[in-house]
Amino acid sequence: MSSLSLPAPRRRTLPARPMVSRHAFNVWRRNRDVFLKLWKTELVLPFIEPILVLLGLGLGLGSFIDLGAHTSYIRFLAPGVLTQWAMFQAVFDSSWGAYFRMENHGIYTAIASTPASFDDVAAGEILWAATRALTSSVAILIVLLALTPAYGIVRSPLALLALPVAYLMGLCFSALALSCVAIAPSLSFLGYFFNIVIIPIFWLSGGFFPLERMPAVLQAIAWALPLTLATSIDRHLLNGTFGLNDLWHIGLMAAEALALAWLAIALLRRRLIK
Amino acid sequence: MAVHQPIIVARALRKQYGAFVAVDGIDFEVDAGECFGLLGPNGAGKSSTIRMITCLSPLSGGSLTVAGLDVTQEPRRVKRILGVVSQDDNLDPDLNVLENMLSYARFFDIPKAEARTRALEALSLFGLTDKQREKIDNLSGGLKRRLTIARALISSPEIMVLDEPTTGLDPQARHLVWQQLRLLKSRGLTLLLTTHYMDEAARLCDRLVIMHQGRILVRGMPEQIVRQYVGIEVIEATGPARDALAPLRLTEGVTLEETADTTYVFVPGPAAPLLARLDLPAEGVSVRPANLEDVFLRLTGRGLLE
Repeated sequence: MSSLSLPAPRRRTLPARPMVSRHAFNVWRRNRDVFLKLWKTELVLPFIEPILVLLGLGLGLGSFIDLGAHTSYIRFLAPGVLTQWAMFQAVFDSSWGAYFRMENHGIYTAIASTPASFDDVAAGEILWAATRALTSSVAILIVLLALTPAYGIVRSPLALLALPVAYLMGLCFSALALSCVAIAPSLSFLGYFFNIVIIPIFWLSGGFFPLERMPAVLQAIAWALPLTLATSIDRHLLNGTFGLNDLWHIGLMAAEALALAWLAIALLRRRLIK
Repeated sequence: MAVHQPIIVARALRKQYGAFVAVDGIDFEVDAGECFGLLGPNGAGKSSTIRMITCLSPLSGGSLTVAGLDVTQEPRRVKRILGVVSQDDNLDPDLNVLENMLSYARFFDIPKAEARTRALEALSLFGLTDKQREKIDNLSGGLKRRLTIARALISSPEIMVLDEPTTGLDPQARHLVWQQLRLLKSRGLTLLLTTHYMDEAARLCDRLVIMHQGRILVRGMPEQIVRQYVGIEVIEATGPARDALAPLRLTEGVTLEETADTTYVFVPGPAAPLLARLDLPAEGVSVRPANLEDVFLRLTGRGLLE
C-alpha cells in the first residue's frame, strides 16, 4: 500500500533467551482448572487403554512368546505401557489441545495481554502437558500394582520413581508437540506429526521387543529418544535394578527436555509475535 | 479539559511487516481521562498501533510510552495498567463466565478473595450477574463483548484499550456497549478505541485521529474536524435532481462532489438559504448535518481501498 519499501528493520525487542516468569504457573493453573472440571470423564480413559494393551498383548500375544520360566511377556510389556500412554497424553494436550487454544480460541493472545508473556504461555503449556503424562502414569501404575499379585510386575518400591520419570519424559514430548504446533499451517499438519513422528517413536521404544535385534542405525536413533530412555529406566525401576546407566539416561532426558522447551518457546514466539 | 496530561505518547511510531509499512511514522498523545479514537478503514494501521501499545508487537521504529513506561523495555509493567479488549472475543470457552474472570485475575496477582469480589462487581456492572455460571458458547455476541470488557476491568486498569469494540454487534448491543464505555470514562478511566464506525467515534471520542495507509490524515475534536473539512450541512441529490444543484458549483465556500449516482454539496453553514434560490424538483434532494463519515470519505476517497 505505502510507496516506501525499506528492508525490514531488525526486531529490537525480541531477546533470544526465553523470558519465563512465575506466570507460567498461572497458565498451568488455568489448564488444571479445566482438567478438574472434566475429571470424571478424564478419569476412566487413562485406565482403559493400558488395561486393554496389557491384557490383550501381554496375555494374548504373550502366550506365543516363551521368555523362560522366570519371566513373562506381560512383565516385559509393563514398563513400555507405563511410558507410552504418558507420552500420548502429553502429546495430545500439547498438539491438538494447544492448537485449539491458540488458533481457535485466541487464549494465548488473551493471556499475553496481561502481564504474562507468550514465553510464559509456552512454558505453562509444557509444564501442564507433562502433568498429564504424570497423571496418566499414576493410573497405569495402579493397574500394574493390581496385576502384580498375579503376574509379578512390580518388584521394587523404586517403581514409584517412575512418576517423576514420566514427568520428565512428558516435558520432552509436550515441548516437541508444541514446537510442531508453532510451525503447523493447519490442524491436519498435527495428524502428520503424530503419524510420522510419534508413532515410529512408539514402535521404536523397546517397549514391545528388545532393541538388540534391530539394525545398529535404528538402535542408535532409538537410544536418543526420550520414550526409549524412559522405558528402559522404568524397566529397571520396576525390577529394582536401577543403576548408574539409568542416571546418565535421566541426565540425557533432562537435557533434551531443556533443548526442546527452548525450541518450542522460540518457535511459538516466532509465530505469535508479529 | 483544563490540564493535559499525556498518558500515551507515540513519536514517529512505525510498524513494518517485511516490505509493507503498516504504520508510517505517526505521532499522537492520549491525555489521561479522555476518550481517544483511532479511526480509519481496514488496513489503515489502527490494529497494528494497538498491538504495539499492548506490547504484543515490537516497534519497527520510533518510540512509544504508556504512563511514562517504554513499551519495549517494560512490557509487563505497561500491561499491568492496561485493560485490553481485543477485536475478536478471546474468552476461554473451557471455563464459565465467572471462571473466566478469576483465571484472568491471577495474571494480575489479585488474591483469590479479592478477585472474586471484583469479578462479581464487574459482572454486575455489565448486567452479567445472572450469567456467572453460564458457558461461554451459550452467550450472544453482545454478551461476549460485554464480558470481554468486564474481564479487562478486573485489574482496575488506568487505561482501557478497545480494538473495534462494537464490530459485529446488533444495534441494541452497540448502544449498551457505548453506554458502558461512557460510564467507565465518567469513572476516570482513559479510553483508547479504534473503530471504523464514524457515528461511534462522534458519540464517544473527545479527540480522534483519522488514519489512512499508515499515516494520520487529520486530528482534533470530532465536531471541529467535521466543520473544518466538510462544513455544517450536506445536500444530497440523486436522479434528475442532480442537475438542479449545478448552479451551486459557483457559490463561494461550497464544495460539490459527484459520484456515480449521487451529488453531494458540502455547505459551511445552513443549506436552506442556498436551496431557496434554486428551482428544485419535488423529489431526490435531501439535507442533513455533516458528519465524520463525510470527512472520512472525502479524505480517503470513495473507492474500495483494498
